[in-house]
Amino acid sequence: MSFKVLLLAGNTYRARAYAQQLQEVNNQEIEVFGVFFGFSSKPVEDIVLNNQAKEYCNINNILCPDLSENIKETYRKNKWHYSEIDSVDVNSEEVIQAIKETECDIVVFAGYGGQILRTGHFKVGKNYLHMHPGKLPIERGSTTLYYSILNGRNCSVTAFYMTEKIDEGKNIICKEYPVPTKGVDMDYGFDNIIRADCFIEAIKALLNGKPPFVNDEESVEYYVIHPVLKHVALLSMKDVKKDLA
Amino acid sequence: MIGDSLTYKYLLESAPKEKINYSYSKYNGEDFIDAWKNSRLRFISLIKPVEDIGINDVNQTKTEILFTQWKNDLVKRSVFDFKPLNLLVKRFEVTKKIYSEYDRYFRPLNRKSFMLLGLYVQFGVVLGSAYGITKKLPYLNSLIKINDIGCSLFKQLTDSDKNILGNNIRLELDFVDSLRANLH
Repeated sequence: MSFKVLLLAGNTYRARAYAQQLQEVNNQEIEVFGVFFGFSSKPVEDIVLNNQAKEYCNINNILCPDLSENIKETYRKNKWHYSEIDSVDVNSEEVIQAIKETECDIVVFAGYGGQILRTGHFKVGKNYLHMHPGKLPIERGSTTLYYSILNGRNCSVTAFYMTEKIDEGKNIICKEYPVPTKGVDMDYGFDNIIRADCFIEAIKALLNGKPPFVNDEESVEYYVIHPVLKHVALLSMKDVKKDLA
Repeated sequence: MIGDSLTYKYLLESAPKEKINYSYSKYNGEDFIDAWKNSRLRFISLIKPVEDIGINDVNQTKTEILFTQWKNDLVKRSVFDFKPLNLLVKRFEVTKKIYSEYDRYFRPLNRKSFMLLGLYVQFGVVLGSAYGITKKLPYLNSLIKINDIGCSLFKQLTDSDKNILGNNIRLELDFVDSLRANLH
């Protein structure tokens, strides 16, 4: 009996990375579906990750996604089915209806920046999975990768079941990643690389029947990082080895 | 915003009515840090010392009274409840405004009353104390944003508030220097 994964995807690099992880794992136990929304209104420039990002992935045995490949192409190659909604609003009736109509074990959210799932999604009766780029609950909120670096920690991604309250659902896994070297783009590259890696680890954990858990450490909330602190974090990253420059 | 890409550009003459946008900021290496420091030092150089940065007890708003209480209580860290401060930090980070009066959930009682500029520098004092004690980065993050507002509105500040802003800026510069030193 297959595990049905529905990717609720905007036209984003993150969605591309998630889809490519599903392609890479090529697990016969997993069936992949998609609800794509807002694509016509949200064109995205195809980008190629630089050598520093590729080297980071190589060293850490992580898939380096091809962010120039449109997710629809990934789905086409793998003969995965998807429906498409014009609205950019993830909380629109059309999106929610499309999810209701798709039989799946889990909905994986990869929407547009700043979008929050509202009540309608949580009445559908399905589990929603999200990957947060921080260790929950001690790194809740925004731009947490930078705060991890400033706090002298490795970067982390927590895969958890979403609820109406932000960053408060039960955790599935939390995985740590070494801080990248200078030159690795944090916002578009590193963030999506590690979220996608954690995503597939979470799927594997679910396939293995790993129960969700609650981390009862003290919750700390972070807000959009000031550019001064962002620069402090980025400037603290180690230089890439000279032979990669 | 004031200035170009080589000038510190996170100052906005229409703040706090308009929010300064910090999202997806570009990376400019050490040049950006230099631009920020130079901008801050320039404002410090414009401040004339006043003898007494005392608190004007007449007609204090409830928020000002609260900030005074917090400043005093932060000195006695063992009895300070950080939850209300954390909630106000959250509200400030969303609205980029400080209001003259709040309800118990730190929702403003009058959504138009956010132009008492002294409240911003007073909040900066609280944030500086909180970060100095706890080293929790949300306080430093908000302190830098509050200082951006203070510098944006520099000409409108009283001499007393300018001096307080100057102290907040010195703390900000020291905190960031220490943070950088600890990371290397």
